[in-house]
Amino acid sequence: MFESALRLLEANVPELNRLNVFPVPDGDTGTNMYLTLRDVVANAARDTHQSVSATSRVMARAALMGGRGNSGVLLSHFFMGMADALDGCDECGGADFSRSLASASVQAYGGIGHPKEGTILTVMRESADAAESVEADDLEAVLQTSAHAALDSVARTPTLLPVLAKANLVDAGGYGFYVILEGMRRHVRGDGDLDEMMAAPQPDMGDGNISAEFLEDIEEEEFGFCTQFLLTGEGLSKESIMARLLELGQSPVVIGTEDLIRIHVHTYSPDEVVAYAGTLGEVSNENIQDMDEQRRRYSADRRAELDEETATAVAVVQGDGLEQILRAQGIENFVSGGDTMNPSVADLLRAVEDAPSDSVLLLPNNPNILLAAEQAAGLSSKRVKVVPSRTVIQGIAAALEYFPEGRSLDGLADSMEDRLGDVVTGEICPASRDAELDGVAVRENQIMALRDRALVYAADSVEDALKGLLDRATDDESEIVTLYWGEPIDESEAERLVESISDDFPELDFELVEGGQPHYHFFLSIE
Amino acid sequence: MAVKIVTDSTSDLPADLAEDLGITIVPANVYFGANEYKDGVDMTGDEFFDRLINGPDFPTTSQPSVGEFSDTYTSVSEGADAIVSLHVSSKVSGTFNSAQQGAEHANVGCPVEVMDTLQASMGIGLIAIEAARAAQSGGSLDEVVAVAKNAIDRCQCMALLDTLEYLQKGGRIGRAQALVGSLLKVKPIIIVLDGVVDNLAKERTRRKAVVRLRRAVQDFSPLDSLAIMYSTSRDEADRLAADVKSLVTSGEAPTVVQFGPALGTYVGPDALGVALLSASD
Repeated sequence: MFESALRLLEANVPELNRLNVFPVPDGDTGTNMYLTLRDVVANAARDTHQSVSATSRVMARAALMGGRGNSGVLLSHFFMGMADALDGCDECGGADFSRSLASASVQAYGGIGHPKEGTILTVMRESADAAESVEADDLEAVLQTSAHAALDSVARTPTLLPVLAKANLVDAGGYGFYVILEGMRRHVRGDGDLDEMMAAPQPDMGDGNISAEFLEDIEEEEFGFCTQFLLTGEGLSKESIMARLLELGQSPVVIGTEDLIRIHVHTYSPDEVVAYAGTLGEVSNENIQDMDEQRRRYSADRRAELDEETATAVAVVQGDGLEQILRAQGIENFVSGGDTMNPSVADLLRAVEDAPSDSVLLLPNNPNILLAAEQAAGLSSKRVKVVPSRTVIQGIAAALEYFPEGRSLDGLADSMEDRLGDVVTGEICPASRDAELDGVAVRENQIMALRDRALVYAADSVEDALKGLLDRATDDESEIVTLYWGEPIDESEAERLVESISDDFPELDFELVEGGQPHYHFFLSIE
Repeated sequence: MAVKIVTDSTSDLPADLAEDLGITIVPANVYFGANEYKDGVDMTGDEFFDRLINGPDFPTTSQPSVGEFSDTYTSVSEGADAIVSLHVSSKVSGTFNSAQQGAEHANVGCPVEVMDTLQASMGIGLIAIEAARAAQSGGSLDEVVAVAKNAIDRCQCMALLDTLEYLQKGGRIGRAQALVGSLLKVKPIIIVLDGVVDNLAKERTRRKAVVRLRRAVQDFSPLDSLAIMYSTSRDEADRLAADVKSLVTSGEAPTVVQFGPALGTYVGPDALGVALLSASD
């Protein structure tokens, strides 16, 4: 059944990738979901268990380790929820599947810190709700209803997420989820062309009103202590733990299996949370931080006195030159990856486990690798802090603060995180299709200029794009612009361009360094 | 009769201030090619930096000889109960060693306590000032030594460098070695930690580096005393002094001094330094 879903998904990878909001070679949703599901199916095929219950556990584990990109990680929560619901089942009927959709949806919402509507989450929830309304215990009927609801939900994603509405696209992750359900439905029904490329629905803008309640940031103000730990035990119930954590604090996150759960909660009474967890199993990798700045620094320093162990860092990077730059700042461990190739949770986890220290900093250097990095941090047996760098330029800025000796992991991570805002990231790359974004129109093969990942200018030449970017990304405070030239151009061309733009911006210092990144003519660090 | 204070010219202590406090400074030797100069005696700071930047020869420095120390102790000992001799970190210079040997060879009728301050530049200078004040107010040898030890514990010395080139050429780079080989131009801030040069921070622009240096001073405040050092940019040093003077609890104005040749060889032009004593608890 999932093999069929995989085949249909594979056929639709190009369509899913087309739905990327940014026409840049960006963490492609289709590719990520496909690779995640492929790992799941491969593991399931190798599995010799005879029961749905055991096999779904194997699949959940495979998804957890193979999750790539944000959509892949969310898909892994889906499989975990499914495994929970199918626990003890030998076969999966319509009612079982309906239950597993509901559990998967709850799991996916619960697994992510600040769920956003208009994404795959909404599509999962609405398809689960529809499945529940099917009274007959008939798998085909449940799949039919849920897939139909999923497609409907996908069409409405732009009404929930303004960025989709502006781009006139539907959510790619949500659409991928629909394709998976549709593949399963066709398998059960025993018909349908599984190699068919299906066009994603046109965005249904409904009455054009964006629901205000969905736009409310779910993130509440942080307070008290950020409390994180691992809980090992038997038959742990995530639902009841979540319910208790909601009483004890805010923003609880509960991820894992019934033997091993990662808990994260903001609370005024961390001792009470830990004591409660202690009644359920063994608590380890405890990490409690006072979110009040001053006291947090104090406790970080205090820990530094107690803990002499020195942290090392793992960075995700694509391009030899960029890797050299990070190496020169003392970072030694790397995972290859970036916009076009998001590493899996397992790739990140392996690098963390291989790092020569028990405390590890993880720099994803990409917004689409952030969730996978957090997932890897949660799964690791080590103490891991993710420094949420959204670009490699931010990662390099953070690396300037990388003086690990005699520093606590938390103190080091905090001071590196403080550096992320020190730089403006510029990117110069060709557009893969026509688009209009942030009020800027771009045609296919034009050169785009992005400031902190937002399109600010498009031009017909790299030189004009650079100038347009600098006009929009520098101010009186800007002093130095470092340009990292990438694969699309060579050094002499890069030198010529820098010479030309430095005439137009005499008040700025320009530094040209080999980056070696694919697809992007230049990455710029403006500070 | 009193305790007398001796230091070496790596302290960067201004001559007039030393004279007021009765501190004797033993000069290091500076060589440009075959020409030898006495630090702070034969050559002004501006002359030195002009030659460092524009001259054909890279200067080298050597610590005062054993004989120079023993002669100094001999002459200072006249009319002294004891001598406390405070020197640049033994981990970066042989000065402390020369001074110890000089003390053994000196023809003196009073005890000579040679101390390793584990510091450099005005870090040593501020410690020497504390010791000299204790001596002037009639402190015994033990009391003056205790005051100096206490000051050593509260002392920090750091510098913002415009380039690592000079530190590297001079071979005194210590753990700041990690900063070399960076493919990016960075403005490093170094700090003397346990007697060796260590990294404090790196910034990409000078403006941010000055802000960071200021913040580092703040982190060690409240302060008992403060000195600002510069190699070629006096205005910047004065501005920094004005910005941080409120952190000194006594209200005493920060001393602004030029790096002498011994330190100047390593920090290079456009360096900006801070030495401070944190307030006692």
